[in-house]
Amino acid sequence: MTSIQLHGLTKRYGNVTAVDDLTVDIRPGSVTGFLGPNGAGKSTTMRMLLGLVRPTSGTATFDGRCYGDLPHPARTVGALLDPAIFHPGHRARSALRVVAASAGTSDARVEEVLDGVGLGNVARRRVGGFSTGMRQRLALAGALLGDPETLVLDEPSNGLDPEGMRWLRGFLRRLADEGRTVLVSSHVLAELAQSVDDVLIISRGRLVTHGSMRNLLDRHRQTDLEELFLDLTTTGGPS
Amino acid sequence: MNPTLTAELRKLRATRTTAAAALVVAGLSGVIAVANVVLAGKEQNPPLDADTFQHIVRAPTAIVGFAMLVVGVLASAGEYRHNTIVPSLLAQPRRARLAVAKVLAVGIVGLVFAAASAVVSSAVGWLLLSSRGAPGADFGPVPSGLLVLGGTAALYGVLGVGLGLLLRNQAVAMTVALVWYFVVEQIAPQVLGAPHASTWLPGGAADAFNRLGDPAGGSAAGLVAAWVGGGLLTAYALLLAALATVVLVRRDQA
Repeated sequence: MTSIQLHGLTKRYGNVTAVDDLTVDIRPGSVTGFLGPNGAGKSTTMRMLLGLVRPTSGTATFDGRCYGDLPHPARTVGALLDPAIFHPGHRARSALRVVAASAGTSDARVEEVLDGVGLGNVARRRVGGFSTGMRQRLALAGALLGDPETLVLDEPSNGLDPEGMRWLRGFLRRLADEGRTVLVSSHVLAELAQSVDDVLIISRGRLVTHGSMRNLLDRHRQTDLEELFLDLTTTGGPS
Repeated sequence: MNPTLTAELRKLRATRTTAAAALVVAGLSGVIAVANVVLAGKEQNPPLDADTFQHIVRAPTAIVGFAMLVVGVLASAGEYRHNTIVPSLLAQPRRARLAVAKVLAVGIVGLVFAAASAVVSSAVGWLLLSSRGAPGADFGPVPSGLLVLGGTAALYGVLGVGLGLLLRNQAVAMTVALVWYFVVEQIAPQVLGAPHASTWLPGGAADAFNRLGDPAGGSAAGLVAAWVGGGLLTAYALLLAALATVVLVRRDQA
């Protein structure tokens, strides 16, 4: 079981502070909803966690290890940051086999995840002809290739149809029940509320709150996640 | 094989542009072989002799090199265009290793392109020379011709990878490659009345390298010795690849 630790994580671009001294521990065996208004610094935080962006200061680690220091990063952490991460001229199967090769997983696993995300019957089609929802499923398949203990997902429900949303909800729940760590950002709060255990909210790069969704709702006398989010990000500010 | 290198080779194999470029190279190699035989002895072309076969083998070198320059740019800048750089960096966060794998993969594809060119030009050339009763071929210079063909293809591929990783924007990288290859190295020296200006540039170095082991090559005005040309082209390719690697390692991937 892997936990995620952010410690004093900060990123500045010139005079602009995108992420400001973020310190959080995200526990395994839970789905943590990562929330914040547009430009709050969620994507930058995820990119620092995954070694794509270098922090100005602080650390982002998985059980104390930076992503780049993990012995088998793609088999430890599965990430979905953007559905458009495959060459449009590649067939779905070929695109995943490229990722499988670099992750050190077998081609048989490619077939498993394609079936798992419901794309087994279109594996020979070129990615350029896929709908947004199909690309999202393919990107999710890429994240799952290494059967990782931790998942970092940025807006995974984008473009999914209602059936896909329902599938994703059950899927995230199952992963957390298996003891995996799931960090998922989304703006579809009503949807997210049905699958998350914990909530991490940031605004203007700073931590607003972090904890069990149930406890936070009780503490702030709110009945749903959307009201809690609006209450904390429009009037509350960092605490 | 190293997983990152395997992934890079799979990427190139799955991309239609690579296959299309290989077919174009093979086709043009055949056309050049036909032209070498059919036009022999006409105008200022040398007649068919023992050297014709080895000339046919090394004649497509510039075309294979240019094709690999394009493949190299597409293999690197294309990663940014299609955002495939993100899964590449997630799978191999040690970025220098990713850059080395990309260079090796494109270098290997360059050797495959050179082999395809050599097979087609040799087969076509041999058939035509035999049917015309040409003098027996001197095979002595053929190995050096193959070395030049493969080396130029691999090194131009590496130049393309370096350029693409450095500039990231595929259209800009391709434009820079085309302008450099055709305008800076070929047209500008003629227009400016300084035909030897590109002697020490990659194109001049490649021209010099192409004379390696060619009995008819000799030393030409404005070209360095063949082995110096080969070394110079290698140095350009490795320097550009090293610079691109340093930038890749230091740059944030937004």
